[in-house]
Amino acid sequence: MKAKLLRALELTALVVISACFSSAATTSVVPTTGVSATNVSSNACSGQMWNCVNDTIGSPDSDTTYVYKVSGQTSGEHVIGFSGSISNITAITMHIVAATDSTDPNAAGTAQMIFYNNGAVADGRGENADQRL
Amino acid sequence: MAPLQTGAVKTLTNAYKEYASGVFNTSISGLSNITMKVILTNTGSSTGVLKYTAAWLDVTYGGAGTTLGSMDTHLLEWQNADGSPKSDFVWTDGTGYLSASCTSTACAGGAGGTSLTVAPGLTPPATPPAPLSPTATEISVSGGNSGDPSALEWVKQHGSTATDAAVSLQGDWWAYLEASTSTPHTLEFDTFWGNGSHVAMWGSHCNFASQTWQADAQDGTGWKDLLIAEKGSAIPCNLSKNAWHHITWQVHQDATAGKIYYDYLTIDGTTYIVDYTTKVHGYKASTWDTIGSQVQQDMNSLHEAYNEWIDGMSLIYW
Repeated sequence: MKAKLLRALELTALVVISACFSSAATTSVVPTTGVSATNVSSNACSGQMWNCVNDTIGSPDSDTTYVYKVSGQTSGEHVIGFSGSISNITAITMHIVAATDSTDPNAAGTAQMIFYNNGAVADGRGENADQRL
Repeated sequence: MAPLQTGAVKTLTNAYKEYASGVFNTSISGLSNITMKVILTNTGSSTGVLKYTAAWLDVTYGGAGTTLGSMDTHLLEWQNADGSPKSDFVWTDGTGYLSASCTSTACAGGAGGTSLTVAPGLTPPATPPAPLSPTATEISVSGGNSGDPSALEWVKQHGSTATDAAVSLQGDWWAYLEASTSTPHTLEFDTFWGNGSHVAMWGSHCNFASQTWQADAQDGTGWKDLLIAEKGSAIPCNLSKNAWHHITWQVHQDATAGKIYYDYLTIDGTTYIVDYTTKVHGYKASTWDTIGSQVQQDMNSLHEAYNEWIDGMSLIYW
């Protein structure tokens, strides 16, 4: 063991404290505000209803609080916002937990997510992002 | 043509399920600039209710962070004869690293009794891809008690004001299994952090029996498959022999929420977004004040010996 330790000590490799621009921190954030709501409503929230979809990550509250596209309309849109001191953002992944109304056998549909930067569809690259799931 | 920042249309089912957009690379100055639109649209003749109960963003941000590099060169066989961990060896080459290993059940899990050798600075059977060092650390395991013997080697630093403040980490490892070697039960790659009051253990391994990636945060839940967001299937693992494989974990922790998060796992360039049901874990019950990375080798029940080579082992924290 002693010989091995001495050999290891002779290694000249250095710890490199360096810039590495290919890497960056990650975090997960929930909405903190609502922007608009069109043809959507909520079972528990009023106004922009963001606080019915800000569940703790990993613990969605299912039908306790949710936002829904109202019956009789073909499509509904809900825009939510975020806040915090995070800057220099280099990548985004959007998540929702969604469903059709299980009590309505005729409910069928889709969900789609778009992100915006200062109100405009953000500049970015992600052509095959959905295929990477 | 749809905007690049638009996720694909997702067909909803009558049970709540996670839907994820995939990773979009972008450049945005601040989080408060971001808004997210959720569009719920009926299909066919349906006008029935569509709903969503939760929304969140995974955000990649910030600058370079602080890199702890060349950790593989400090992997060390440094344990007592009974396999229990000897007090950490403090490297005197100015790096401040502490290293040790263990094979006992109490430390490494498994059946104990593993014969372990750790030899840094050797030339592996296949040259590691550039820009990695051409030399690597060879870890050999054999023998052991009845069951699945294991060995564990770690490299860490004492906690400091800077490390105590870290909330996001990226662990990198390059691993190689020799072509002639036996098949492990698992190969493990962990990142850990503690500030004296909260301790996060992002444990993960490739399970060669189930051919899946599994996680154990040592929060009492044990090893479980990591699932792919939206798909719900396990992240596949096939660390083939006679090839270098690059493993990268991006993780973070939130003391206010009392949770740790497995965000992205990238294997040989393929990034997996971890499903919310397996992404979030609790802290480990400990008072460690440290930051580090480790690798573990678990043999199969036949105790078949194998050699694992490690290169490019590093940790970045923010």
